Amino acid sequence: MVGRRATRWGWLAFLALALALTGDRLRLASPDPGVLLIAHTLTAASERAVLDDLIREFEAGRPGTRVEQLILNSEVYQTVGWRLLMRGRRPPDIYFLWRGYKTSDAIDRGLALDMAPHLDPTVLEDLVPTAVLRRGNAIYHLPQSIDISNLVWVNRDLLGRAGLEKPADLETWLEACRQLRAAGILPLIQGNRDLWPIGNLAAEFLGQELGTDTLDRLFVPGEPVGPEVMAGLAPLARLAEEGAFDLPGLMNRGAIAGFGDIDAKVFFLTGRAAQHIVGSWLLADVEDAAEKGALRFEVGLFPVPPAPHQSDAITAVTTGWMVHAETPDPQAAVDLVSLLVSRRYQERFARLGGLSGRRDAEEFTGAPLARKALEILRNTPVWVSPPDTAYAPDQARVFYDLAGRLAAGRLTPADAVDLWNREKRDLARKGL
Amino acid sequence: MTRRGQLLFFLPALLLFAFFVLLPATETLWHSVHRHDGGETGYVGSLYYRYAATDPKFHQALGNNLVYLVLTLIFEVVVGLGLAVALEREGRLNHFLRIVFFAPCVLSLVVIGLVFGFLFKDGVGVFPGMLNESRALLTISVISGWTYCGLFMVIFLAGLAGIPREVLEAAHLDGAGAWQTFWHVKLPLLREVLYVALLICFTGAFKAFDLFWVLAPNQDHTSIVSTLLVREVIHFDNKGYGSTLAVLLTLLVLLTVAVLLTLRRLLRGARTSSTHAGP
Repeated sequence: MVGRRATRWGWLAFLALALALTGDRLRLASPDPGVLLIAHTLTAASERAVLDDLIREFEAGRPGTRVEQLILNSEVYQTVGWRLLMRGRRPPDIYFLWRGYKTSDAIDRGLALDMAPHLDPTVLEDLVPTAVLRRGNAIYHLPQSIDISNLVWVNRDLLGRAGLEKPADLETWLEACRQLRAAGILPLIQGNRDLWPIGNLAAEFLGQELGTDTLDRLFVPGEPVGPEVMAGLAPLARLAEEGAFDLPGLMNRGAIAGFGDIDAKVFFLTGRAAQHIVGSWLLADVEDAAEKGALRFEVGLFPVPPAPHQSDAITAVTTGWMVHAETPDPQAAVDLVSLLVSRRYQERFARLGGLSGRRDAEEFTGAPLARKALEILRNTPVWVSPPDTAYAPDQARVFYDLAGRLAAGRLTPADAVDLWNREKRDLARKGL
Repeated sequence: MTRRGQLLFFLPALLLFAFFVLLPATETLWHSVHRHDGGETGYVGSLYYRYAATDPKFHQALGNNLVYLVLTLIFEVVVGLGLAVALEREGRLNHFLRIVFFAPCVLSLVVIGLVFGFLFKDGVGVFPGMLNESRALLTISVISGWTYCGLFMVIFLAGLAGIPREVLEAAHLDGAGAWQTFWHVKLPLLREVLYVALLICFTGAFKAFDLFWVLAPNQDHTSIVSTLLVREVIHFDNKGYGSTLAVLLTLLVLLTVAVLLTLRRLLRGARTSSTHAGP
C-alpha cells in the first residue's frame, strides 16, 4: 500500500517537474514592447548576413530594443505563411510583401501602419516615387527591391555558335529559337511545375498586346472575356508549337509541366540550353556561379521582345516593407524600415543582385548585368504586375494553369477563351 | 480499478482528442458553410456542397482516388499477401528478404517522392516520361505499392503465424496441395487480418497526399481530393470550399469503413447461418 502511494507521488512529482521544465517553452507568445519582430523571405546566407549587420547596427543605436526575425521560404510565405502570421497572437511588427493584391488587402484590413507621420522626409526623397505605395497622403510600403519577373537570360556562347544575335522583335526571336533547335540546341529551358514561370511570361505577352488596363479587366471576378483578349497569348502557343521548350533526346514535348523552376535554372547555368526566362533574381545565382568558377559561358540578358504592333511592356513587381498597424513602437519599426532602404544597406543588397528602388540605384549597382536590368526598367514604358502578386489568388491561379497548358501544348489560344470563361464562372459560383 | 480511476485515466486522452480532433473538426464543419473574404466571414449555407456536386475537378479527383484505391489494393494488399505466403517459411534468406521488402516502409513518403521524382524527371531522369498524363496515376500507385507492400506482408505474416499448425497438417494429410491449402485453409483463416488490411488500404487511399503533392503538383490529371482541398485552401485562399472538401473526404472515409464493417458482419452472419443449417 505504502509502495503504491510512493509510486503515485513519484509520478506526480515527475509530472510536476516535466511541466516546470517545459512550461516556459509552452507559454504562448505575447507582444513584448521591447522586441521588434520582422518577417521576411531573405533566406540566402549572403542576404541574411546583410540583414544581421543591419539589425546589429539598429540595436546598438537603440538600447533596450531587440529585433527578432521570422524567416520563411518565399513560396510558403506568399501562399499561407503571411496570412497565418497575421492571424497569430503575435503578428510581426514589420513584414515583407510583394506590392499588389496582398498590400491592398493588408491596408483594407487595417493591418498596415501609415508610416508618413514617423518617416524622415529625406528617406522619401531618396526613393523612386512610383516604388513607394501611397494612398492619399498615407505611406504604407517602402521598396526593398524592384524585381523584373521576365528577362530572357541567354548563353552568349551557344547563341554565338548558332550565329545568332540578340533578337530585335518577337518574329526574329521566334526565328532564332527555330535556328537554335535546328542546330541541336535547346532554345529555352523552362520549368513550370509550379506554374508561375510561364504564368508570368503569359502575363507579359498579354501586357504587350493589351496594356495594363485591359489586363486588369481580365482578372475582374465573374467578367467573361472575348477571343481578342486571349489573342495576346498567341506568342506563347507559337513558342510551344515550334518546339522552343523541347528538343528530342533532351526534353520531351510537354515535359515543361513536370520540370521544376530550380531544375530549369540549374539546366541553364550548366550550359545545356541557350535561353532561360526568369526574373531578375537570377542575377544572384549568376554572380554566385561565376564566383565559384562554375559558370563556363558568358551570360547576357534582354527583355521579352514584343511584336511590331505591340507596346513594349515588362512584368515587374516592387517588393518591400510594411509596418503592422498595431505595433507597440511605430517609430522604432519605421526607423528599422528606413535603415533597410538606406543607401548603405541597399548598396550591399545590390551587390547580391537586388535592383534597388532608390533614385541613386545606378550609382551603386556595379554588376554589368544588374545595370542592364536597371536600364531595361528605366526604358520600358509599360509595367505589368505578375498576376500572383497583383490579383486575387484564385483568378491568378486559373490564369497560371491556363498558361501552363498552353506551354505544354495541351491547349490552343482559341480553347483558352472557353476555359478561362468557364473557370471564371465556376469561381463565381464558389463566390470567388 | 475504481470508476474514478478509470475516469482519471480516460480524461487526458479525451481532453487531447477534444482539443486536437473534435475542436478542429467542428471548426472545419463551420468553415464549410461560411465564406471568407479577407477578414470578413458570411454564412453561405450549402453553397459549397452544391458546388462540389457539379464541380468537374472534384469529380476527377474523386475518380482518381477510386482508381488509386483499386491499384493500391493490388500493389499493396495483393502483393503483400503474396510476399507473406512466399516468405512464410523460417530461414535466413527469407528473413533477409522480409527486411528488404519492409525497409521502404520506414522511409518518409516525401523522401521517396523526391527520389522517384528525380528518377522520372524529363531531361535529367533515368526513366523520363513516367509521370506523363497517361501514366502518372499508375506510376504513383506502383511507388506506393513498393513502399507499403512490406507493411502488409508483415501484417499477413503475423496472421499466417496465428494459423494452428494442426489445421495445416490435417490439410496436408488430406492431400491438399500448396494452392488448395492457401485458398481453402489459409485465406479463410486470414479473413480477420484481411479486414484490417483492407481497412488500412482503403482509408490510406483516401488519405493519400504526400506522393501526389511531391510528384505531380498542380496537375489536374493526378489531383486527388486531398491535394485539391490543399490547393483550394493554400493557393486560392478559399477556406470555405477547402473545408467542404475536407468534410466530404471525411465522410467518404467513414462511408468506406462502414461498408467494410457491414460486409464483414454480413459475411459473418452468412457463415454462422450456414454452420447452423448443417445436420
